[in-house]
Amino acid sequence: MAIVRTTSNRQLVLAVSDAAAGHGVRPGMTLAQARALCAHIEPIEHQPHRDAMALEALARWMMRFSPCVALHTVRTAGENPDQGTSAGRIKPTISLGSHAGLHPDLCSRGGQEQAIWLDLSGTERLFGPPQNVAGQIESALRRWQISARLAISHSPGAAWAMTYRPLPIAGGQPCAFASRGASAAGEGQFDDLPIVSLRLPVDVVAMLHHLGIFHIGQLRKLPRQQLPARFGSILLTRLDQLDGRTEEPLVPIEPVWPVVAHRRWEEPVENLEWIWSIAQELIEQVTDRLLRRGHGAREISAMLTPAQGRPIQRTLRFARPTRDPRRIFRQLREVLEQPTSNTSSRRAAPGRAGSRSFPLVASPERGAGRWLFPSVASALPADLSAFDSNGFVALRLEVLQSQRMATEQIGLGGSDLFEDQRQLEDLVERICARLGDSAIVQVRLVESHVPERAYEPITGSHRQTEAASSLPCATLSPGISPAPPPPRPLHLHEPLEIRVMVSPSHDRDGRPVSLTDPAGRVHRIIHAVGPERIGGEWWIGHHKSRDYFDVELPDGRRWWVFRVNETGRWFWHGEF
Amino acid sequence: MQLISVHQGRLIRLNASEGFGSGHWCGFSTGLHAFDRLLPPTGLACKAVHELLYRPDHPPPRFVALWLARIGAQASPRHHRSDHRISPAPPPRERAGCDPFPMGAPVSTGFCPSDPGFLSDFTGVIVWSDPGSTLYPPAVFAGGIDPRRLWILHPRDPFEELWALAECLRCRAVAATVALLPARLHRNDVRRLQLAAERGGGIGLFLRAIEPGSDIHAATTRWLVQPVRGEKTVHRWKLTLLHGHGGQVGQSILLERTRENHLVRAVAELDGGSCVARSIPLVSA
Repeated sequence: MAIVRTTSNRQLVLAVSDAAAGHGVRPGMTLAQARALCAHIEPIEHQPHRDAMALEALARWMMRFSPCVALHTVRTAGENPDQGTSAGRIKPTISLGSHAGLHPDLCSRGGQEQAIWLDLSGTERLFGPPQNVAGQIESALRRWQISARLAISHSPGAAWAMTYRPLPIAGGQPCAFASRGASAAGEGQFDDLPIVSLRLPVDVVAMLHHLGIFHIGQLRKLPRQQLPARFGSILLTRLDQLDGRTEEPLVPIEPVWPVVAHRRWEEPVENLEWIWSIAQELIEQVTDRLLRRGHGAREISAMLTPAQGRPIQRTLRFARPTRDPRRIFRQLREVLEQPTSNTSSRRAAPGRAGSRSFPLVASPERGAGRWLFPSVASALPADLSAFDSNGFVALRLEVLQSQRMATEQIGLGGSDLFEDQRQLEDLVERICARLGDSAIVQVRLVESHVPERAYEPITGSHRQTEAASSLPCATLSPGISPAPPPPRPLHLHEPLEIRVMVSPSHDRDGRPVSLTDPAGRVHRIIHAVGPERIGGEWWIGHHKSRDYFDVELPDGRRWWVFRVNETGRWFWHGEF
Repeated sequence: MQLISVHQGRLIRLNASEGFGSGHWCGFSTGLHAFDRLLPPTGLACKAVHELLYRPDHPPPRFVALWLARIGAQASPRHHRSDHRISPAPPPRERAGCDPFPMGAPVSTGFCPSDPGFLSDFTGVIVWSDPGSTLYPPAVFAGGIDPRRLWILHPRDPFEELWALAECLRCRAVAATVALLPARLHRNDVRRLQLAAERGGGIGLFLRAIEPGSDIHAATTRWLVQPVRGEKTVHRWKLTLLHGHGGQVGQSILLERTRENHLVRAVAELDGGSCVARSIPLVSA
């Protein structure tokens, strides 16, 4: 596998996997050269934004070890160095030069180097020595198949430089430790590191190489006062940052706090309207925070705490990210008024709503805006059995899942298409909130000749997107008129075995002339269209083939029956 | 640019609707003369419930429901807004007897819309209630329904089904709601469904068996659908209008579907004629 970047008509290899590197493929080659060395190499287009997203996700995962986690991207050309002023404190730092599943050479040849820095100061009480943290990160990265270099040192610059130290560790993530601080003895441990580990611009590195300076130890032997004049001030800055003489502040990534709105009142409240008004206030708080974050809610947890008993917890799910308070409030009412029934009420005849119990229902007997608590406690589910008329004491809303939400433009003059789409999404949300996520589904066609396996339901939040990918050919290309598919019955049930009399034939392949339905009635077959042979999916063990017939009975009914060719048994599969 | 084009499209539609005079939208035509002849002058009513009745020993007429739902979906709900006037059903075509209607092709072949908005590729959503999970969606797609526009309801009991059907009928984005309802329905339930349909923009197509209690209804039209003997590759139903103000109540037609080319045709039934003996020539679209 190789990651390539397409520039005009050239495809340059940016990074290669270990297997490709074993064939001699190296970053910097063109894809044609790489294919000459390894014919079956799999090129993947470089997507820097996805790399950045993955790196940020990894950094956020590491916030469990330290509150100060910083992302760092070093462009090896034209970089402005951080200007530290004071001598730095000793900071154990883990530096990760990481690219998931790629050869480490990418860091030095890809044009930019990325790293995650953790400030482990003060974490010893929780995790012990920093080596414990490094071990946990190392095992996690190995589990995720992310190849990275780990180093722990007293300063970010030193930790970065230590990742360039080759370690003879086989079968694991290399981890380097430089535990000594900024002292004369400690400086010597970096002398064998290459110049590129100082995060210098490319031209400075090239100039040093031209002068025959390849290691930090060679650089230290030069007169310190003359270095800025020849190589700029960045060289001394990097050396000081390496030794810990100059502070190099980390810019931690901002933690993402959960969006929670909570209200607890002193006395139990039974007034429905009052609780709804509080819910509206909480929803506005939630939507304000989502607006500042640029996100919309996809999933909100609502918890209503009664004065006695366990709290009621419901989850609001939205088909698209939203921060519309009215929409959230409407669904909150839906889920809290969700009907709950026992098995006996499920079989109740329609139109008898009295057999259902609702968690929250406005009771006309007690006046508008009052709770109605079902009198029959046995009809309540377990989580609602503790309800009584003592009211509720708290309401809590928490955004469980949010997504970045693009700014929506108000339709010019109102767009009917968008409005219909919104109304449809609201309908699906209402039905899913009240009846469950699988209560309304879309269907995706599956490539299978076996009729009962030719489709599968789509649930979840990407219904329309996935259903669009299974458009039939006639819909996708209206200009082309392919042969119409053979008709299929609208009603398909489990195959029921029937007895069929066939016309005389030398073998078993006669045409059906009469059949006996499962109830035992005999029907003469007026017309029989077929057979349409459908082979079994032998690659999953189904070797039997079917011959389908579209048969018409004397009263005009049309059945879809098939014969299993291997056994000669007949089955009734559907009805047109 | 897209917004501008949308805006211009609205202007064109508004101008077009103004040119149609003062006739308010009441219904739509199926494009099949023999069928439309039975309908009221305004066509098959939108924002209404239509019932397809069947005898208990016959299967539910799902294909007829699919055919009507597809026409209703093509006459999308966004054209049915109360502030948007659309002309009533177009006059019947001159060629009487039979009209082909291809199910796998765009509906405009046999459908004569007089509003330019109908030429849009937008079609409404069809919701099909299927509590027993016996609907075969590939057959629905083969009938010309876009998979993106088909939503299947799986209610767990009649109570949930009635609530969900009312919600679907009330939604303006849903063009057609199809359900197999029990014969015995409470009067409040049928009224609730009818009121929901009036608030929405589509049609409700309910399949009910003729059994005691099935006479309680609030449907605009009621049809008795019976399968009749067809030909080898022609599937045939007999549709009788049982109820419908302004329609030819008591009259029947034959609806045919040809297996090879998926054409749907409506044929006026001859008095005393046998359906079996008649041989109807296929007319290409």
